[in-house]
Amino acid sequence: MNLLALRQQLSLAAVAAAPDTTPLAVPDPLVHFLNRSSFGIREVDYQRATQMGYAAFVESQLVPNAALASAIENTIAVNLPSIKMTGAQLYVAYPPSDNKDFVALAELRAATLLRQIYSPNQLFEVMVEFWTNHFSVEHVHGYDRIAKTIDDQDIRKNALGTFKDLLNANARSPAMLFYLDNYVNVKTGAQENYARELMELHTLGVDGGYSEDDVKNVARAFTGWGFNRTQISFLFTQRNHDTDEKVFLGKALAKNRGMQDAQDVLDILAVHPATAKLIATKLVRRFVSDTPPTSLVEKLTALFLSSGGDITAMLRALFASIEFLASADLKIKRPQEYLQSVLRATDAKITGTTYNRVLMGVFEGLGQQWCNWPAPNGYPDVGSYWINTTAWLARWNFVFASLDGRLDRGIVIDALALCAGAKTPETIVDTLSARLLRRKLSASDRTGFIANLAAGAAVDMALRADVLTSRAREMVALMLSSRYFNYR
Amino acid sequence: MSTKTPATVAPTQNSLCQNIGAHILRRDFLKISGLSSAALALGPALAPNIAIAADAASARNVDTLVVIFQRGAMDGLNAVVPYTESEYYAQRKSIAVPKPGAASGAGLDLNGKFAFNPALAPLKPLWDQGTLSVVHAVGLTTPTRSHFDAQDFMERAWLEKGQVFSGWLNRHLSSTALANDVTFRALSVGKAVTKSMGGPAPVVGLNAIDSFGLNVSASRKTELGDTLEASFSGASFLDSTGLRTFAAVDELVAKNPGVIAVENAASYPNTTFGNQMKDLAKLIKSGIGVEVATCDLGGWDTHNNETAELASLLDELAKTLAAFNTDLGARMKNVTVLTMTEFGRRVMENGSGGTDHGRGSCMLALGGGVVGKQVFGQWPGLAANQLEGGDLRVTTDYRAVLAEALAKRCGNQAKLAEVFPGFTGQATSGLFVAR
Repeated sequence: MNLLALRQQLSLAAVAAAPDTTPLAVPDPLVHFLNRSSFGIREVDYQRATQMGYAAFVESQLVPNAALASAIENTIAVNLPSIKMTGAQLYVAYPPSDNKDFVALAELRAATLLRQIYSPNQLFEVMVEFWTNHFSVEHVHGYDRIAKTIDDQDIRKNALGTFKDLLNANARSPAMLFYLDNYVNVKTGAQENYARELMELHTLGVDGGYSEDDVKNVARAFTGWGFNRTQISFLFTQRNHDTDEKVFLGKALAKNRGMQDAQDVLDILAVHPATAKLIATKLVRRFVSDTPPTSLVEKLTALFLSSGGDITAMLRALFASIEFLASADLKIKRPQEYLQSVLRATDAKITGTTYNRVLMGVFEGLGQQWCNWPAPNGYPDVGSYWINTTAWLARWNFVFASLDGRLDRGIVIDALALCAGAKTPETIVDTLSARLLRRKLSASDRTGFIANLAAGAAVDMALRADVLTSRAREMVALMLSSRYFNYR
Repeated sequence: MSTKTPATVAPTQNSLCQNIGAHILRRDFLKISGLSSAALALGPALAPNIAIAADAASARNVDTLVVIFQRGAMDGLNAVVPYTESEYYAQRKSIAVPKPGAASGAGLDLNGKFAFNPALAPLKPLWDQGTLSVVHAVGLTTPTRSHFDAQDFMERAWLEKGQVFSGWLNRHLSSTALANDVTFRALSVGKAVTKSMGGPAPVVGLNAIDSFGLNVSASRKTELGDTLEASFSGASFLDSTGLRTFAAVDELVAKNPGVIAVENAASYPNTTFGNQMKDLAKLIKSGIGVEVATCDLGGWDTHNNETAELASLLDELAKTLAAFNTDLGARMKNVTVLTMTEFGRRVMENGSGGTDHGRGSCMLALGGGVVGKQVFGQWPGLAANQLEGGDLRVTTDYRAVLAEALAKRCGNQAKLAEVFPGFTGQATSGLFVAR
């Protein structure tokens, strides 16, 4: 199979959306997999991956070992007690009545940040993010400040399971029932918000073949689906349910069947070919290209249908595909992946009590706070949305502030340690590019970076001791600001 | 599209630039990087020609066009209320805006037929002065009720998926290319560039003036900036946007709009949108060359508790636009502001004090070139047989409004077919006076 030819073909496909014909030398396959399947490459994960080899490492990410993440999970359990609570416990411990619910929200954001930085099960965390975004809920409103914690538990249970389980859990999730208003969808005045987005965004896709009448019928099928306000748990209320017959995609849903109406709708949606195509397309967009190649989308669509929506099976095929292997530099890090990857790549030491608030401010500034997208379609996953002049400045300023220690005293990046003893401009650039970028610089970039470090002095002589630390910091920041590090 | 955009930097020229880069100011480097290597060798001698580039926008003798997208689908019927329609009150028992003259919450009469939602009160003086009009029953001619499709179609001005990937404003910019690149000609205010602005013509995204700079505390700020800038040497999207960032920062330092005062005691709401529009006014006043600007105000998806939610949003919109108008003062003679939204909302309210997705909504047009004080468009009525699937019909294609604005205020009579491919209708007439 001609990788280069396919790569060119994929690049051409990407041109339509955002011209990208970069001639950079591509990273090796393992680095490519790590870039795509993680929140950036930590040295310890890279070493483990290298020892295991491509196939074994991919498989270990597809079937994660929970024990590997026990350290970070213990830290979370001790410091962020709301994460493991039931809805009833949350309601008592973090009552909305006195704004304690904002603490629950902050704890979920903090737990998410820590898991994304420290969990060795990176692909799992990436998939948690993927489904969180697929079933997007704007976290900051009303009951969702505590209900999203339950929603997150559901997603983590099913992130590498089957789509059907994810969908069924989400349709009963108080967070979603509140966010898309289904808790006020009642027989005396059906409300279409959830019904429409369930089909358009969660399952069939906007061109999935449903009609405006289907929207109205599905809304009626879901009348009475709500949640208990103090248990923060799913609750079906028969007296709010429209008991008349409904018709959905040409199938009659007989009258007087209560909850079964909507369950039938979910069962149909969960295995529908249009759903399979939507999920396949989104997975390929996440892991391969902003303009998903049809060949791979079709392969994964078929696999969804034959496997009963088995997410792991789809991902296994995706990572083994030629389309994936040929897709280096076709994706750009979104702010969340960018920020996490800076911390991971540099092995930043994070301590103290203020870093979390500071990093949340950075997320806000970069435009991708966890669960804060205002619309139910989730954060976009195309580079053209995320990269522009103001976004570049926000990224660069975050990196330079982090390296200078200006961001927060609890966030420390040891640039000299990253240099691993290198002291000349040439060796520092080569060491840092291998460690942070894990790929070859173009000749002109290598020359430019070395000249910057040398600042007029010899490129093969050790830098003066009094400038070594600051120059090393600057070079780390430069590399993390460069295009190399912004590809995913 | 200008021939001198960063996107045209060829690798060979760039390595040459690197060699001589130390002798050339960064913005000059960008401006000349599209020239021949012989010209490059001249270096600083070219600077005088470059300095006048920003004046090119005013030389084009056009308005600054400001397009505000109200994401989420604004309920046009409760914003500009058809208060003589009995069906309006019959279908909206809990959320209708009371008629002008009602004891509380009354609409503000516009013309004996329509009334502003009272939350739009800050705009009423502009209406009275004759620089503000409404286009009603306007929208997409394709009947999607998906927010995301509708916004996508509207912003690309191509009413289906695929085929056309650029935004209508970007095509407007491309089809009215300037001889010299003006960095801030196209400005998307916010953290992301709006889809209407996306495409080959370069765009500056700016979220806030005071954070738009490279914040490097090191004493080697210039050297670091130069090296980073030089590293964007490829032909990719990352490279072109990276280079443009440096050009925009330099331009902003030169014009320093951050210190420009708000004038005429204008008072912007202290909200994201309010502050963004305040910054936009500063940039316009600075003469940096803004010809087209976009800004978003989201949250209009009022399925639930509409009366309160809509009032809050309309209040923010109206206070901001009124402040913008006051702040710019006489400059509004050369500014056109348009609002748009992806669709309107169903005539009949739902069971949760809100409205579900509908069809027609309304647009506002504000500026010295607007024929003011009119509710523009053909009113389709609200009787059952006048609706489309329970929704207000679209009787004015939103593209017709944009086309008239571009033709009469933005100097683009000639290339409207490029901006609005597939649009076979006529531009509206009578909403704007020609410059």
